[in-house]
Amino acid sequence: MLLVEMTLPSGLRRISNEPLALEHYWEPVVASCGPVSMATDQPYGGYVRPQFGRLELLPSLFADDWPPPVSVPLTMAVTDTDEAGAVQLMAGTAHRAEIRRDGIAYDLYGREYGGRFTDHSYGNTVSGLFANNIASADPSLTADTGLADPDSAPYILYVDTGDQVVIDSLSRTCAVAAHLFYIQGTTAHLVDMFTDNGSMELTEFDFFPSSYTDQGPLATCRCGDTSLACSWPYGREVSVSPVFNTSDTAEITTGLERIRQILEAPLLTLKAPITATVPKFGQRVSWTDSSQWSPLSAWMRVRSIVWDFDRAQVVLRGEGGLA
Amino acid sequence: MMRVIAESSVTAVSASSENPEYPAANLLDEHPKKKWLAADASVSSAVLTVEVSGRTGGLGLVGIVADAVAVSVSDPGGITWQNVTWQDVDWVAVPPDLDLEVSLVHGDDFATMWAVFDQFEATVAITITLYRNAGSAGVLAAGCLRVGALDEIPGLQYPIREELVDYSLARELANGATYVLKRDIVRRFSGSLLVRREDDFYTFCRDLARRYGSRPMMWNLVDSKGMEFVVYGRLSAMPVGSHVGRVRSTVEFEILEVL
Repeated sequence: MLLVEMTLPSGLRRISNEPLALEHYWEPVVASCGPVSMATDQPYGGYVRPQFGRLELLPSLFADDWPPPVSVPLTMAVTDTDEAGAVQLMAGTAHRAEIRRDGIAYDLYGREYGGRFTDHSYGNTVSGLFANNIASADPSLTADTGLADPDSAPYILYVDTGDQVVIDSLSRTCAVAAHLFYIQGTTAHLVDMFTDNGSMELTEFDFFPSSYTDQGPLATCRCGDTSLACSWPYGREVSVSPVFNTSDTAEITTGLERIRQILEAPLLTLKAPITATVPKFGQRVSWTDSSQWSPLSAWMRVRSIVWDFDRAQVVLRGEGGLA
Repeated sequence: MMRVIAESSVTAVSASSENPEYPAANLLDEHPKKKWLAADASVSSAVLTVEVSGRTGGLGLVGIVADAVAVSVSDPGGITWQNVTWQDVDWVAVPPDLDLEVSLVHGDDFATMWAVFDQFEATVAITITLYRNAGSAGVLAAGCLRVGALDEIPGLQYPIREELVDYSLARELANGATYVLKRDIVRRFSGSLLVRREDDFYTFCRDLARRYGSRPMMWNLVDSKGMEFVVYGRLSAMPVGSHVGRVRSTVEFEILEVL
């Protein structure tokens, strides 16, 4: 069940895509809720960036606030049973996009972390540089590097030149070290792409028919002048940036080898009913799909979550394995 | 026979007990699911006081959670008309001087009540008392209340089609089992009227359908056996009529319950 709270000039409104009589009444004025997605910037890591779709609302919601306000604070949550069990997906702003006779469209924007720096020098392990710099993205943020693996990841040494948004610069930098990070409240969690952030076992009553795609053959991974031969001679070439630690090509090769393993792994997509049990990024999800020709044991580490409220499904995506 | 309350003559409604998130004022909006709730499950009876002004001849209440309901009508001149109480029976009728009839259909959370009385035009108070039996679970509640003038159209014909419309989502899971996201299920009534063209055909098609369109109204369908259906719903399609003779006309209708 979708729970949206909008703070209109006339007061707080609780709305949903169906009439819900929970602790409060949730008005059925959400005509459509475009997918809410959170995914790493790169397949091999980086910032888990929220991307929010469009909310289509019935005009009657704005009977006391006509014309509909341009910018409205908003939170979005899902629950299986009641309001106490709700899990918040976003807290942000709805910005008016379109007024039509049959509906009012708002584009959704999550919280932005707008800290910037210029010509920033990195010279640290991925854990060290993340812990040292995340507060520059936003002073409220603190780092959790408990699931990082600085010993396996390459040492990062380079200067990010020019004016940079800190969160974007950190995203690029963590990605080349094959680490992702996601922000939950005021904590930024750094997670090694080869480390499980918890685990979850699904039964076949928990997901819809799904398919499993390969990412396509990879011939070469390249970072600046350093290249790494991959498993297939006929595949594509991937260029990794930024070019870091040019003084030590062994470090770059270490990073490319980790990225190669991720990009050559099967990319699994799993569709499941929306519930309030939301997997964490980097969580290992495993299941057996016996609807295939022969039972298939599958697992993935979650890199992307898409909540599709119009289809009442959540789509999990990540690299993993099939057996 | 079909009875319809299209316009409300309610000026105010209050409750002797209410959950602040579900006040008695919710009874007057167009969403029965946005209901009135008593404060909590310890409340064994609650009184809804309905202030009415203007032409009034009937009362419909849907989404009732209660074991018994009593209705009383009084006028400002101090005359208290006789109470009629429904108590575990389907139909209670007739203080002869008032012609007040109350009927109630059972259901866990979809009980309905309909009361009719001689039409009057005055400012009166109507009290509706809902009761919970000792040991009965749940909180007293009601979804939508309409009090007002009655439009009465005779000639409700068999068959009266009653069906359920399910808004749930159902999808196949990986192993072939079905995932069901249960959502609300509502009723849809459809049938036909055989009526005099003047005035009943035009009462239905012009005074109701054309005037109010798909706006929800309180409906009471009574078949020739006295079986009643009370539904707060809207015309999901405009009626289709046929003038089958110089005097008589048929009208096909479809009413979809709203939430």
